[in-house]
Amino acid sequence: MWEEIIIKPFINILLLINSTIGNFGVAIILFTLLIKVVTHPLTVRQIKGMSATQELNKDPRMVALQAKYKNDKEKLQAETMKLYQEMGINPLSQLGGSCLPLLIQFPIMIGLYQSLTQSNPTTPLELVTLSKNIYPWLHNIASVVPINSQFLWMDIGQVDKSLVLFGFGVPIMAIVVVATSWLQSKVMAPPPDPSNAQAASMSASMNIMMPLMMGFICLSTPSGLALYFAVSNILGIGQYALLGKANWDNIIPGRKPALQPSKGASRPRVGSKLEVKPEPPVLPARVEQAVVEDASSKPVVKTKKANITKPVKSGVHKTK
Amino acid sequence: MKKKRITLIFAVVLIGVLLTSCGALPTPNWPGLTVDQDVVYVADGGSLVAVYGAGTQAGTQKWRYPADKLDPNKQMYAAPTISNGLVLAGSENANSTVFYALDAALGTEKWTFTEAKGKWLASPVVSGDLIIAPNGDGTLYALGMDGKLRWKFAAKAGFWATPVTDGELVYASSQDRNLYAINVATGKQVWSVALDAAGLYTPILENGTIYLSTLAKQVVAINPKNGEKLWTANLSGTVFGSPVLVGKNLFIADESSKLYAFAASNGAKVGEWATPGPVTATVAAFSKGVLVVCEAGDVIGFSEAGEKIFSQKINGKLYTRPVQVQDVVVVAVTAPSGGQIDKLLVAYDSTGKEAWSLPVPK
Repeated sequence: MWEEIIIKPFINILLLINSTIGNFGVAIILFTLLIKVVTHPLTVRQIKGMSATQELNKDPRMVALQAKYKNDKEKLQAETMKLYQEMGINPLSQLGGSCLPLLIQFPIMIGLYQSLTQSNPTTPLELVTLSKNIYPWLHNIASVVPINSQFLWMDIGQVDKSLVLFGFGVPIMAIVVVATSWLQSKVMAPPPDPSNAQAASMSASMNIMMPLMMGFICLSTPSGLALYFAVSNILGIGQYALLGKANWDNIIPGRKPALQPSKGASRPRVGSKLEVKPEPPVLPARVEQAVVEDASSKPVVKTKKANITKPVKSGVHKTK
Repeated sequence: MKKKRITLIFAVVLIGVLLTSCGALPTPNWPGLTVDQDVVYVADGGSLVAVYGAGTQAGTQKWRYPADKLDPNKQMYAAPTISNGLVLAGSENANSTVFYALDAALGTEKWTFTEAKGKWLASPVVSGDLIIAPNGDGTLYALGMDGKLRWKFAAKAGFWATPVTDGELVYASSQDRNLYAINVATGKQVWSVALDAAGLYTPILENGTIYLSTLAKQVVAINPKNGEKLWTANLSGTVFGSPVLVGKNLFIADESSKLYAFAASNGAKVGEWATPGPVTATVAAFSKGVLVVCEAGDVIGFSEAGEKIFSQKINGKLYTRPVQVQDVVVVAVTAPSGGQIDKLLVAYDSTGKEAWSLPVPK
């Protein structure tokens, strides 16, 4: 089933591009681009879902609930559900908005990995397997082989260690993958929330660990997979930039990352935990700003460039 | 908070290790099988095993390399070649490719050659005191019996097939769709002939003619003096094995579940018989005719006239060319994807009765 629905179509499309272009490295780049284009609507939905969830969590009423029931998880959950109902939000739809597209993309990514390795057979057994996975009406195994797997300095079917320095093979592609993975994680990271040091710390750890893990994987896998990772990372950054969600402040030296407002910045009014008004503005990501709390803990927001947000019907703030 | 952070880091590292271990697994292939006198040599991934194939010790292990345990860094799949008291075999993993010369009597390492960049997918051939080893990096490496490089010949794509030699020229088919004739002494190309598809299978040199199969569903006869094509015979399905000469006919089987016999003299089809399933292995000659192994595990003995002599079924996949040791034929078994096998080698006598077997090395 998996083979028929995912692997075979992927392999045949990849080989079709390869037979047109004549180079497996270029075919991988174009195929990755094609997959990104096809899954772009899902990515957009995922990004929007994540943004909506983040905005929801910043709602002062939610903040007030979290502060009030910080030691009673069950009560917090119950009150949160009440708040969702009051705001007319289905929590499952929020979950689906961010997670469902990711869940759909995950098998595509796994299938892409498997089809990449199967499309470039490096042993006779792999060739036999490939011959069973190609569509006879589209390809002929005799015309598919040999595959031109030389791309730039690499053999796509081999681990990349072409550059030898002092007797050691330098894994250039693994380094490229680490760099692009780190860049992508920084660009995609939301502005840090100073009130949630734990989340910020975990996010920082992930931003280091994940690129290193990707690079570690590339040390022992064919360079074609590393090429896919690198291209996918670069296209992912491009997608975020196109959607206006790229957080360039995280990577441009000399520019401080924008801050989210502190969760403790607003206080619920006495007598009604769900009726806290007015709502504080959500600070725009690209405007340098500073948040200073006065003696009464009321937030004072100083911005160089005003860009105040307005609440939308669902209670989710939308940045203009 | 610290605990959560440690848990997170641990989880990420664990996932990384798991993924890396998957990626680090060497590319699987089927076992390589060869025979020298009464000893069978099988290269099956993490080890190379020498087994007595006949006599009172039939089926017992002579030695294993590495001796004590399977070594994931020594992935050997190509059938070894035995010559001058040496067992010659290549291995590769993600980080290195090594060509080994082992002592044939003891299974101990004599020397290694590490200059190649690609996988060792085919057996080397020996001509006099020269070892000519084809590599997946598209180079034929000619080594002395001391492991020193004498010459090398580069093609445009990888060598997956064992070359053949008449002592003067060595004939090697390459993935670049050419058959090359190279001077054994100098390593210089004498002629080349274009094939209709990648040359992935070992040519045979019999009665002054080269016979080889190609991915283009063909068997081709070529004059070894000048590369002239003498005749071409067509098959129904994709072929993954080489032809074998039995009597005056060439036998070959294909993926369309057919066994063919072609007259070696002119390529005329002499016979065509059904097999129980697709065949991806080279058929083997044995005392009563030809042995065909189907991918699904069927072992069929045919007479030269195409009559079925016996039929057996093995638990596992069969891709490797069987070999004959005196009066038995030995079959190597490949584990199916995600599955396991209990026997690596099974030997049958001429009536199809199991003579001995070798369990999968632990």
